[in-house]
Amino acid sequence: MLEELKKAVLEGEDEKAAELTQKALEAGIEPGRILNEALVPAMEIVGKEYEDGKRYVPEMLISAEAMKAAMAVLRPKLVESGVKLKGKVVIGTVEGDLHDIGKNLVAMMLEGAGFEVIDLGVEVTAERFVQAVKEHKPDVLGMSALLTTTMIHMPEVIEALKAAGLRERVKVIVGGAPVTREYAEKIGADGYAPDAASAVELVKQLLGVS
Amino acid sequence: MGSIHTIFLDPAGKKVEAQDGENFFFALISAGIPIRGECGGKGICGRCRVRFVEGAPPPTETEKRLLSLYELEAGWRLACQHVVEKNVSLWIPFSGETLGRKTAEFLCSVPFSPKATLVYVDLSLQKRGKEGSDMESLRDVLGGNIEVSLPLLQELPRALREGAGKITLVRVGKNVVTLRPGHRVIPLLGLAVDLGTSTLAAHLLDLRKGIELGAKAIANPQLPFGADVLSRITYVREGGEEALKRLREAVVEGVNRLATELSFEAGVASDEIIHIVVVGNPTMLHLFLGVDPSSIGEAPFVPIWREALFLRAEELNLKVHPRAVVEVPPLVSGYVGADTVASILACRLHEKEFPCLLLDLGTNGEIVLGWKERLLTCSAAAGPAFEGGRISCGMPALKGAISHVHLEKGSFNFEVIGGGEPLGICGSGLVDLLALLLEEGLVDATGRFSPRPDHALFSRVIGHGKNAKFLITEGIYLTQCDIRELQLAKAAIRAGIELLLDKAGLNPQEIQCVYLAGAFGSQMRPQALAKIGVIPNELLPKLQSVGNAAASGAIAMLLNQELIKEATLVAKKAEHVELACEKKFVEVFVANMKFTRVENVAFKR
Repeated sequence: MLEELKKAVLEGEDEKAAELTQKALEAGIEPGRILNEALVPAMEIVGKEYEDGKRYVPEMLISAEAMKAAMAVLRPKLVESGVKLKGKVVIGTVEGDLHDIGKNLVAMMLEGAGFEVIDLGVEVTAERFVQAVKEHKPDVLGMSALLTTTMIHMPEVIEALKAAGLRERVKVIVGGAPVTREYAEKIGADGYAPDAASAVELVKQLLGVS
Repeated sequence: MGSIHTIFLDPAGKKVEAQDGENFFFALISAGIPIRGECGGKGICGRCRVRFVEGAPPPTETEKRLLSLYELEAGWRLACQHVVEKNVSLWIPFSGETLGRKTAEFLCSVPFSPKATLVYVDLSLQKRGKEGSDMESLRDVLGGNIEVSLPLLQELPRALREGAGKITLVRVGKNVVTLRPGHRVIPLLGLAVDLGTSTLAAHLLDLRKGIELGAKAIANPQLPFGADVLSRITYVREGGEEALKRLREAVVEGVNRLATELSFEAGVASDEIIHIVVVGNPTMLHLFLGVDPSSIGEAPFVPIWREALFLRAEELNLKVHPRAVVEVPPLVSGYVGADTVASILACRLHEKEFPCLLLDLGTNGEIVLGWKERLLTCSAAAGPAFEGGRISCGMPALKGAISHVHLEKGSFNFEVIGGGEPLGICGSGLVDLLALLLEEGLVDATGRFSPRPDHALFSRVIGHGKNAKFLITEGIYLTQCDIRELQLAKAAIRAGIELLLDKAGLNPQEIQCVYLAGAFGSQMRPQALAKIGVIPNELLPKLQSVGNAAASGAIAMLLNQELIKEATLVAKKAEHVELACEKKFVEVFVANMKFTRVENVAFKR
């Protein structure tokens, strides 16, 4: 059944993925196993196929949608069963930026890799990022910007974290079309990833998990 | 049999051979040179103007009547009035390349009623003192339709004295730009300017005769400061006042260069330019006027102003008549500017009985869906791929660019702009190539190179997965990543089209005509555009290329003063759709990245 669920996610069949997750739970399979033996491997394959150029954004998104459908069923059970997730990530697009396809992909890939993701949505101000770090105590804070004009809000968030005395408590990662590794270093971020698949690797590496 | 002479044509750089004694007009026409002549060489219309670079023949009586003394001195003649007797060099101001055929047709249909006029006044007929002042007499004669200005007051006494009460006013609407004593013919020149992100274009017009004297385009001198509007906005945000000044000076200098060169080539003086209409995208207009465009750079993407502006050349440091009137038509939003408004006017979209689409496929592709009931506009962030940007071997549509590719009887060929060695591939070539690869099954519906060892062209596909690329010719190829960039660009445009149709509750079948504007548009093979899915397939037979419609609209506003008022009505009527705020956008955008025929995703739910 887990193999079937994995296949449904790979093929982007969202209704089937939700259904199979429900069936697996009813069959008494532990939520942690469903996550780690079906969803995580499926998203690993998606990430790898993207790396190889076999998948592009549309093919990645359909799998991500199916994963999301499965997670909607699975998440409450995961919380109940007290499965330990790999880490917590707060994510959002910066102030003035409405473009969230990339951010959504990163969020779903992270979730599919076994991380807890708190998505703050679009146009998140420095204040709201700081507030979320206080409230959720995440391991990683992810920021995305698709415009060169909004990218400049990234250092503002980092400064705000410093001012609130929270900078040392969270790893900051950045991404989006105009963002580069050099820019990430310049503004004092802890990491940069060029795409959703490598963002997962980056977070794993920063948190020392596999 | 008479001998053969050669006519050298500038600035086209062409040569035409003609029989000794053959009429210039007919020699040029039969050689396919686009020369104007409404009367067919009868010496009536005065439109077949050519300039003899040297050794102009003595003017005929017809020419003395139809051309000004200044023009005659500069070597301007009418082609129909002279015969070829020796080898000569001619300067021909028109070129079919700058004005699309459709656009030229449209311009001929604009009623000639310019805002700039010469007004002859004789105040000696007025009883001095009756009105209390000369200014009041003047206003009385002109029916009150005049605005008082300091230069007018300062110039008036001398002109009245020297002309014994007779004066000639150069008027643009209510404004007197300048005045001269006596009744005389003063040249009235207009300049239509289109400020594009990558190209600045200008057309010089004779507003007395209603003809174009020349057209020219140059690369935007702001290019070193960033290739797209966002990077220029960032430049201003980071560099402050100083950066804004630098960008402003760069574009003003570009416009001045165009004005100076066009005037020189037409044999007129640039300070005879007294009316200018400037269109452009909102960011370019902000930078041209020295207004900080930062607010356009982030949500909610609001410009500083939207209304039509009425300015003076001296305020803008333009090297034309210092008191020339500079008009900037209104904007619709932060990404839909006066250029789009001008294009709507040029295509008469707001008068159409049935819905029509207007597409301008630049870095920010503007899309308008309009007819007499509604005008819906949006800007699709297509990125620079269609202009050859962010493509490994991409380049603008300049000399050396591969502009088209074909597969004929199994052999793969390409065309290079200007002939010669290919240096890279431009937007039209990219669209052609991608369409061909899809057609031949070498790229699948998801945009991936697919293994087709049986295909003759498969040997050109080198590498695997992310590193796969198609070899066009030595050193020039299309990579897997390039295809991804093109997928993003086409999906953005197509999503924009579908969302506008959705907003208006229309099906593609209900669209009567699709106008493709911009230099890029005229290069495109419509079949290739439809094949890669930029436009829905059913719109293919309705596609019409209209050249630089924004510039045509600006020209039209100089030729007919009603059109400037109309521009304001058009802008008021236009509804802006912010794609990034549309709920369906992501879904439609993502669905359209593929090459399968996903018709009208927006309607599916």
